[in-house]
Amino acid sequence: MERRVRLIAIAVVAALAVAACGGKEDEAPPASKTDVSSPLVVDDGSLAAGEKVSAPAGEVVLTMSGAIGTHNKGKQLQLDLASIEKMRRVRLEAAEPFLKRRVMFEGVLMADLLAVAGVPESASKISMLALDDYKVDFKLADVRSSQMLLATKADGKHMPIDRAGPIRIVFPDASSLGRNPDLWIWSVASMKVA
Amino acid sequence: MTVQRRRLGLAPARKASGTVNPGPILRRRRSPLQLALGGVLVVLILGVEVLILQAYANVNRSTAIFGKVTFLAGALVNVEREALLLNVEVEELPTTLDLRGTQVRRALLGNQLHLADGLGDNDPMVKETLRGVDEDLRVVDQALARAKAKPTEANLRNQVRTMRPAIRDVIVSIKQLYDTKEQEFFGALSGTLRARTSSERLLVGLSGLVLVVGLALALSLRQRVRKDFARAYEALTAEVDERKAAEQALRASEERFRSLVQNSSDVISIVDADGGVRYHSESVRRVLGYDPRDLVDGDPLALVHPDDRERVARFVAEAALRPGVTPAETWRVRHRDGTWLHSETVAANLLEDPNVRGLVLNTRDVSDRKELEEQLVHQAFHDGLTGLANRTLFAERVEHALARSGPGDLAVMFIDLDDFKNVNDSLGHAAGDQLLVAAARRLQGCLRPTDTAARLGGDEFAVLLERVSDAEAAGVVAGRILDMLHKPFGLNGRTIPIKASLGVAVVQPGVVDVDELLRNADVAMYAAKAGGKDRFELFRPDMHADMLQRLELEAELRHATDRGELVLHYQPIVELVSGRITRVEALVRWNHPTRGLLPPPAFIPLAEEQGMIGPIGRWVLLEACQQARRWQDRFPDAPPLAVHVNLSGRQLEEQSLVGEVVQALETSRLVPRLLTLEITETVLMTDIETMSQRLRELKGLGVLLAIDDFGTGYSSLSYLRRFPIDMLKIDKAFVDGIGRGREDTALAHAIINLSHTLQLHTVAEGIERPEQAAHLAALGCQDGQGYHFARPLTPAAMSELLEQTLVDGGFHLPVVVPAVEPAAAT
Repeated sequence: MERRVRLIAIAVVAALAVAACGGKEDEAPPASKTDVSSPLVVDDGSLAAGEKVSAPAGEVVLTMSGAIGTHNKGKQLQLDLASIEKMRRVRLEAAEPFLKRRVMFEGVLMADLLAVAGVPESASKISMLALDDYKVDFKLADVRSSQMLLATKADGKHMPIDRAGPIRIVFPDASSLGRNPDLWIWSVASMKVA
Repeated sequence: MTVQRRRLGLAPARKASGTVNPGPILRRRRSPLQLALGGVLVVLILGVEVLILQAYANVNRSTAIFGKVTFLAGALVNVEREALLLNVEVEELPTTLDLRGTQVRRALLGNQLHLADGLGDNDPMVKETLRGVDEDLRVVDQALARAKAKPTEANLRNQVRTMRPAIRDVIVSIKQLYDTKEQEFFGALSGTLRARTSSERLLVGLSGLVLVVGLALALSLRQRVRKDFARAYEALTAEVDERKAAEQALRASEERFRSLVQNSSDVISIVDADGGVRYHSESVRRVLGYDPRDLVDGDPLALVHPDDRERVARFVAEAALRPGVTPAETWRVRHRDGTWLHSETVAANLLEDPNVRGLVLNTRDVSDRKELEEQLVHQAFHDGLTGLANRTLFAERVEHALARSGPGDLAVMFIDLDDFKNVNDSLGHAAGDQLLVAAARRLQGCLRPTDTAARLGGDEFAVLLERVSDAEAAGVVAGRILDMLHKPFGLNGRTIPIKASLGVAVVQPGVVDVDELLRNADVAMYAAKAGGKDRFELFRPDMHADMLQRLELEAELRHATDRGELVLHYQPIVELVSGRITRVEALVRWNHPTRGLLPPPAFIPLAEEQGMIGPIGRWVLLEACQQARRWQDRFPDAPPLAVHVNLSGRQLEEQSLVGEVVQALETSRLVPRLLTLEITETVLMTDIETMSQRLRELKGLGVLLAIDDFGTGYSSLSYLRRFPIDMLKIDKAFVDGIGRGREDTALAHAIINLSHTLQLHTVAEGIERPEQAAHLAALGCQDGQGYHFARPLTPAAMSELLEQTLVDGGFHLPVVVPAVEPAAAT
């Protein structure tokens, strides 16, 4: 009798093991080859916090307003791609939630941008608006802690509007905010700090 | 019962039964049903597992598809929204003139299309639609480019007209794609769900089956387990019962053993190796009269006879050394009442036995046996009746005496009681035995302690006298013995003298051997007997010659019948009143070639002794009958003579007698009633049963029966009624006294009266004088016989007498008949 019970047990365990292995195979993620899963500084840039930002020469891609200390047009800070790319640039490889593939982004950390824009410590939130009027509010603390990146390039190329450009918000893989694809704002056009 | 099956190994196997192998508790036997159920259960469970895994995979796939479709749908909705926004932008372009805004919108649509393309997953339909959309948008882009080149209202309107259908086309295409995808998705979803339901139904079914089969298996197993348990329980109880029975048997056996020991007639004692008594069984109280507790720890030898103590001590010491049982020894033990018992003891050495650690002595009172042994020894050498030495011991004593040297002669006496047979026959064996005992006592009384008296058998005694001075002294002793025996001996109210014949042989030791000495005494004894009895004779060598003669006679008698030496004489029997001869008595004589005519006493005892009475008797019977017939033939006018024939005791004992009588009658053609058979009173009294039977048989033939010598025996008169008697012959002894004294006459009278009372015919024997005949006739006696009438005559003489006396059809005797043969007696 015992022998039979043992037989049944073995069969069940074997069946479970097969099932478990099958599950794992289904879930196994592809392993990344290079480790740029967190922002890597590629150029310290010339535009840093406290410096005056000259008026944009090219097409303005980002207009910042609200509680900012740096202005270059009225109470706004208007930035073209060149101005943005003058700031400290970082590279980040992240899983793009819409294309569902890994993309090597290049851009500036939102924290650096906020510093350049002279956002005071008192400011607590930032409201971002995209070209298609998509709007998302963040807490500034979250923006800073999540290593949110304002990307200007994807896979080494500038992004046209029909490729989610010219600038877009991306997150490192480790960021918890980045898990929500709705926060990956493409074609960001303006930010208002409060 | 097979022990193996019943014993399931729950109980430890008994060591005793080597054949039993303890089996497993439960036989590993599965019924086919259980095997099938088990197999089905395994298959079902695997099936369920497979189904569960499949369902899990299906759900995963469905989720993946769902996710993808959701993304695609979302993307398509976005595309559609952007397209609609672009359409709005384009429609308002002529008024707003916001080319830039339109271009941005167009780019945003592009982004959405790009995303949708990425999510399309190479779906051919998606690819196809998107390609169509791209073509439409190229039209839009070209129109926008033309509008930018010439941003007039008219141109703008113109371009809007160009763009409008293209954008609408995009919207419709995307909408169609969306609808298709949506339908496809829900179709797939419902298909998946359907599949899932059916597979779940199967799963539920299988699970149910698993339950049912599992339940069945469990029930079946439970039943089996119960059965096994019941069997095990049964085996266990059987084992318990068996053990109980064994314990009971053991207890019973112990009790039996204890009661055996305690109730044994033997005394069972346990003794230490050094002889100390540890235990006596209860029976010691019965055997020796002591309480067993009083004897324990006492000196075990105290009760043993002093002469035996050393032997007992040796016995115990030997038993302690010897393993097993020491053979029985006998010694004497004192009873509490002071008497000595013979005990027989067997010892079993159980010193090594942990339960005993001692010698077990089994002692039994063999006093009775000892006594019996001594008695047997005594019996082997002594006569049981008289307590005298027997022939064996006597011969041994004589031998010893002969071997002994010393002064004086040695005398051996043989003593034979005279006429003892008569006593035995008439008064019975018990009386005879009393007589023998009395004789033995008297014999012993005449002897010195050194002399030996013995009974050699029957009425024969012997005496050994040691150290007698001479033959004369022996003769004195012999005379004394005869005197002592003569003293009247009371027996059954009668006074009987014991008479004996003694033979004495006196020799010097070492001269003759035992056999010769005893033979000499025997010869002397015979001589005394032959010399008239009631006397003793000293052995003389010439006595041997007499013995030889006797032996010769014996040899000659054997041939007497063949040689015709036996003859019959006839004595008439006369009617007293008339003097007429009516009957004759046949009397046998041996006409010996050298010794002349011998009367019956000279050879009949010898013939009886030698077993020759049969042929002689037959001859007498036949001859007498034939003679009677001859006279009958010779004197046909006279009344036929009856003939009397004497029968001896031996003859009567023979069954063949009746046949012989018949034969004689037939051969002679004699009428039975003319034959009268005479039997002596003493013969009749030897064996009343046989005799009365025999007499009845003879009587049945029609012959007459007469009692001879009536009055000489000791018979009770009442016995006479038992026998079918016709006639009494009054003995000569009574006849002699008639007319001489009143007493004798009265006796004769009484006998005759008795005879009349019993209606018997009376014959008086031995009438010698005329007055006797006259008296007897007066007393009523019918017939008479004797010298007064005629002596026994030869057949010829008898014929002559008959011839002479034949007068008027009868044989009438003259009054006086001369006596010729005075010595002859009837």
